Amino acid sequence: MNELSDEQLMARVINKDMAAYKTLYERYKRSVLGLSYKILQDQAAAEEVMQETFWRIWHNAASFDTQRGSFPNWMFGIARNLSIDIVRRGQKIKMQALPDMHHDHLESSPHYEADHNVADAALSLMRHEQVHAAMITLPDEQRDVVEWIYFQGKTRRQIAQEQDIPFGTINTRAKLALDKLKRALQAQGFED
Amino acid sequence: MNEQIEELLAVYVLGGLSSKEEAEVEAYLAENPQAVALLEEAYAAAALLPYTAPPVTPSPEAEAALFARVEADLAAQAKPVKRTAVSTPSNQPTLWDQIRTFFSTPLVTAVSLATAVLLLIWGLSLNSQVKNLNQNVQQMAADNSSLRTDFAALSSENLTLTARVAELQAANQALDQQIDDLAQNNANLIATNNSLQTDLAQASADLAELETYSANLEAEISKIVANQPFDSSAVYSVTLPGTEDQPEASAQLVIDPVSNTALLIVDGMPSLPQDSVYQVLLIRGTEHETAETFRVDTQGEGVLLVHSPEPLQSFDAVGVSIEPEGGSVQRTGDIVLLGSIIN
Repeated sequence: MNELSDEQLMARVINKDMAAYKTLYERYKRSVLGLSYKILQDQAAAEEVMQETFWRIWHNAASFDTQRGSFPNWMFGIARNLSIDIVRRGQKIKMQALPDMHHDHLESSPHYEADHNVADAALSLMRHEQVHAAMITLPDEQRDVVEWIYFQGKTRRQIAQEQDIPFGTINTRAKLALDKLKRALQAQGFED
Repeated sequence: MNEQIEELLAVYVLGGLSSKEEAEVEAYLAENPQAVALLEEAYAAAALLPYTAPPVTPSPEAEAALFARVEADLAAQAKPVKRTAVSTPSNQPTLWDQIRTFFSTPLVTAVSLATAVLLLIWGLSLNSQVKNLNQNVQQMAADNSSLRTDFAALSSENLTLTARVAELQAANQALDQQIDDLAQNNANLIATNNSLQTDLAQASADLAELETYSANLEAEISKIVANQPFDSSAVYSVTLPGTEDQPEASAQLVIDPVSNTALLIVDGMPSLPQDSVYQVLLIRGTEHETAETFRVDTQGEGVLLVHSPEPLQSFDAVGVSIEPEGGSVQRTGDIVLLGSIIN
């Protein structure tokens, strides 16, 4: 099952193939939870978002359209929207640090290592390391714009007001950040 | 190409536009397919952003809850098989038909599915608990190992301290012995000091007695000088040798016939006990008169002035006997000096 692409697996999930669904889950659960946690900074809330995201993947599999984007885009879009909705609703989220054992490191405890799909865990970690390395090459002002919009859910108007930055500058910094990020990852031979 | 709109594409894919702005961009994209390529480039870059977040492994509880929900949904979608009842010749359902009909009812099916779901949840929960318990066991084993290491270190330290305590106890015993020795020496010194004090007191008493004796002698000499005895050409002296009782003793008796006074100077006579004294005897034939008593000093020497109511030359001899304290009217003791009074 692991050799199948995301889109092939989703075609099976539409037909309620539990094995295909579990393969997708193992492939992306860490990244989805990592994204939710980065936005929400709360373990319980992030895990709720992770559960809801994968539930929607199962329940609304038929709505996934390969013509409108890749599976990761669709999946991460669900996770980010759910997380940002929580942030924008102003829900008071109890700050709670994640136990270290939940962070994906290859030297994690034997219990978790035995339970993990090691290949998927390693792949998630490698992707993170590559993208993170590319991200820190961005100038601070460009990286800040990405952080504010994508991970904190702020609109261009909010940023302009809070940071006293013109709309045009925000647009330019966002565009430059995405262009530079893509070029940096292409130079590393990154494959999504 | 609307550059103003296209500048918004990056912010659009990041999700930073208002709803109104998003609608404007989407309307533009719908009318300008050539702008979709720019949009896709922006999307391709933005699609990488989720990976900037460090991956995190979900807890077993979260996974169990998700899959319980999915399994329940999967089970609920399973359609029950419709069965057509077959009439028996008697036109009455058999027991098997009744059981099959019972388990084919939607209610029983639903209950069975729900039970299965609950059992699945329970099983997942138990699995999670077992994992947690295994983790606890590993932690306790690590703690136990750590405690064993600590215990070994403490045991070693205890042995070292015990040896040190033994050394200190031995040193303490040695010090106690030294203290006892010093206390004994101190007691000895105190006893010696007391003895010396006693000796000193005795010596002081002896000195006082000698001083008294010396003073008496000086008084006697003063009396003699005042009376000017022995100021006569008739003065003569005789020797009184010691008898068998005191052969070492001797005396010179200086006689003044004019004043009937004689000066007795003795030597080599032992000191007497406190209850005895020496007494002068004036002997005439077989009779005698007792005269003055005296004592000698520690050197066995003594000086005495002898007075006689009768002329000294009327006596034949002079002697000295040992008598009780105060003297005797008649001699009671041995004669230790004896000599003729005649020149």
